[in-house]
Amino acid sequence: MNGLGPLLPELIGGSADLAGSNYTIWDQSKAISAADAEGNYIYFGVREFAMAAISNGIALYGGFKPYAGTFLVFTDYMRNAMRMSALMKQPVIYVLTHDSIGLGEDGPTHQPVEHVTSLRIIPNMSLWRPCDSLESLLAWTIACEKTDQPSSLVFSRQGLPHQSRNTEQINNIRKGGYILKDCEGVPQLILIASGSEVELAMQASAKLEQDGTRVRVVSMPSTDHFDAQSADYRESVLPAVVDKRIAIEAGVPDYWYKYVGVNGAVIGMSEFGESAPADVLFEHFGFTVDNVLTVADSLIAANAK
Amino acid sequence: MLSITRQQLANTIRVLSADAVQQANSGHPGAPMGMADIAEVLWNDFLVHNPGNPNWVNRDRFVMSNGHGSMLIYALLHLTGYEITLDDIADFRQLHSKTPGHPEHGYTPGIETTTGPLGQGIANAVGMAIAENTLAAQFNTEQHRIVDHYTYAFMGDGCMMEGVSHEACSLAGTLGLGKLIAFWDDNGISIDGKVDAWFTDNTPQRFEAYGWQVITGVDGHDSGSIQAAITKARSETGKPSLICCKTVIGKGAPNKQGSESCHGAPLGADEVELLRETLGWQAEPFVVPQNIAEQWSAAEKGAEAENKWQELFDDYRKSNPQRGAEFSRRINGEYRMTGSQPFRP
Repeated sequence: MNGLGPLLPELIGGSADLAGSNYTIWDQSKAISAADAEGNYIYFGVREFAMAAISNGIALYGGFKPYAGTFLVFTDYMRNAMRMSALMKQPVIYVLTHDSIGLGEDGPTHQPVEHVTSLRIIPNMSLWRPCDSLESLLAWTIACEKTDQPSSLVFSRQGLPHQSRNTEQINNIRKGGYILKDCEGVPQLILIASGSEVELAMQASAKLEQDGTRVRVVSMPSTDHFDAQSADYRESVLPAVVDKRIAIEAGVPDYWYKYVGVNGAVIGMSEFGESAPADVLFEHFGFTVDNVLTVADSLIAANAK
Repeated sequence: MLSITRQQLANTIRVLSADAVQQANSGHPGAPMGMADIAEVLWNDFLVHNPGNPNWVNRDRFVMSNGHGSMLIYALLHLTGYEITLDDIADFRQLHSKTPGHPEHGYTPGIETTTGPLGQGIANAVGMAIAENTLAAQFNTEQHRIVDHYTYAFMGDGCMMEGVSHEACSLAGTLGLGKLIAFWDDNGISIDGKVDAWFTDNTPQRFEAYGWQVITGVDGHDSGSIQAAITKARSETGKPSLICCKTVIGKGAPNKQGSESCHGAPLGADEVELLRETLGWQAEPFVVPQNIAEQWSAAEKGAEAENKWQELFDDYRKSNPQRGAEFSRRINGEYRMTGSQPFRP
């Protein structure tokens, strides 16, 4: 936000009592108050639903780019207003943090499970779940460019390592899904991941490669942007001939079957989370290199029969 | 021809609403008929808008938070001169018509926001009032108040009950949005019947507690009472205002007014006939007598208002060329960063 903010005097917004946690406040944020309306930051208080509906009003008014931040899990409180943004084609930017069991000790009340998928299925809602700072920057930029579509920007609580990319890969981030790491020849297996699970996919692919498996890793921060690409591009990323695919995302698995197909597998969350440190939870729920390897082995073995 | 009374102007809304709902065999006649007098006074005496340009930036914003009463706003838009014909009104609730079941932004010129999910319209209006207030603070100068208008919202009992109205109106009070004026259609009826059994809040006290100016005891069928209340609301610049209007749902339908039976169902052909008798209304369905149509038209007044503003803005641009250009960019939604690469990751 500190990069984009100064270039966009039309940015206006805030969060529902989570300014520090959502990182919605930036260097040149200035609060709007009864005494002084000449600001750009709204302290919405603990009022998610009103925050989203007020943001719709600001977007409809014109002259501003409204954004609204809260924990991803509390999109349930404001969901109908988010749906109204999509129905009315208003480019409200939703900044949704603490996106999985990765938020840790606060436990299942605060850990989203079904939320990313449930936002993806709202017609005309764009969604990004970036894996590092570069994808995050692109997600923000693309959300700011929208004129007829709201965006949900979904971020983790935990810091994520930077992935290295060449120029072509950087250009492909905009396409919503792209090859982050490829192998020689036709892949035997494709790992598809979003957000915090991309690094896990990268680590697992390194192991699989050591064992002689040809693996491709696809980072898929935005399924809606990927779906909007040409058939040729989608085929180049997810070739039909490779049907051994594993999707990894710390959320409900259902949505990913359209990318992994009937012969694929999904490592996701089919139940609510638990209260514990994040690393313990990722291990407990199977977001480990070992589990990815086990699933990969069974997939390859099953399909070999 | 005798001069048109305010009553007749309001009755135009009542009959159009009853006829449209009857023809569609679906819809909500009660709210438009109950709020017709309030709407007539607000739109004819106060609302600054230009039917010829629904996108004029400094227009007053009007939000019908109780969106099920959509025929009220369609009648107002037609009568004042927006691009919505009597044929469009006769097409109420049909596929791809300009008059969908609930007001939908983008389908109908003059609809500021899509409403229907109760309570969200007032929250949208709070957003519009915040936007007005902040845009004014960012761009107005002492000589040129280029952003300077009101945001009006109609609310029903349902909007009052929905939690989001509590959240939004509470924040509106804290932010002191003096140019936000809401009307509560206090008719005591919701779909299940008389609200006494499920909605007994002291609404005036509730809004006073939020820091609003609350104007009570307004007879929602008396134009003088409504006019005085709106004038009082506009004179308070530091707080939003709530005008509490006692109304009779379905006012004018002799057997159904005041009852939930006229909330969300057609009145029935017989009752529509009786409505015409009661109101002394002779015109056929979807016909507005010419003298009444002329009286309602806001086309000329609206064009004048916008022209006057345009002169003000031209002068502003002369004195403040950069800010003038920036204001136009902002309002046109032109994205400054498009095509450029202003920052590196």
